[in-house]
Amino acid sequence: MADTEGIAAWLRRGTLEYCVLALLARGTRYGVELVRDLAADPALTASEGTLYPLLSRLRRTGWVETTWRESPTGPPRRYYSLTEEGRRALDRFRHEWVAFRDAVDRVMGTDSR
Amino acid sequence: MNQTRGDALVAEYLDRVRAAAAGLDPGRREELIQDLREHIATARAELTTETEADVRAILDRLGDPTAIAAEAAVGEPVRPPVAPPPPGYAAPPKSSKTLITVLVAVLAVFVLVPVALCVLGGLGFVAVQTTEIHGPTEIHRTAVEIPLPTMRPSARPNPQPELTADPGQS
Repeated sequence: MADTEGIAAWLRRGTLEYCVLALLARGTRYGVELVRDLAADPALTASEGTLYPLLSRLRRTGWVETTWRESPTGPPRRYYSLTEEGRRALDRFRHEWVAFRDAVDRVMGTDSR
Repeated sequence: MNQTRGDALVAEYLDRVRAAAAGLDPGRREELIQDLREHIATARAELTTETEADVRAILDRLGDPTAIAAEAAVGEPVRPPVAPPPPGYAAPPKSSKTLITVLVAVLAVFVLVPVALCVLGGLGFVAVQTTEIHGPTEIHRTAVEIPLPTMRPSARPNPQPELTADPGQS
């Protein structure tokens, strides 16, 4: 687990789902859009497909909900949106994240650039 | 033409995911397959003209089926206030619980009771008498409380007098 990908995977765990919530807080997106936006940054995710289990968990947790909408091209698309509970979870994470990030930066000596 | 080749690639890919996710709950596995199927269908519909390379690119971006299956096997999202136990931490099945109970009972009868009787026997007739009067539960408790003289004879001399006196008083 000392390799770069291993470290990245550990850091993503517990963070990435909130990145999904943060993207959805800006507006609803359909699966392909959402997954591509996240996977565009290799630091955030290993591949597009690994995001679907995460989306499934968020649905079950009740932090996101989905609705089907007709598409101008092809089959209907499933749109993801943030629930009120998801919004509260995101707020809590933002608060914790800043404190956590600052603390780690202080210890690591990565707080000044 | 390309359509059928593309369909075959997709079917093969989903089969690999299904195989990699064989250990998952069947409902979860089918949900995952359905999510990926939707993704692929939508992504293919967005192509103006589809080539085999396009389909391969879509599948490549989805990534390694093993990695996807591994992600699907991860527990619930982190919810600090009320974290539900992950699936792997389910209670052991009843049969093993029963087995443990039986083992403990057998141990108690065949090991603890004779040891207790030996210990009490060493203390004299009165102790044995009181033990018999108080029944198996008392014997068990006494056996646990009294150190075993046979194990460490030098470190543990005779048990304290209170222990013999105790059952008689209660």
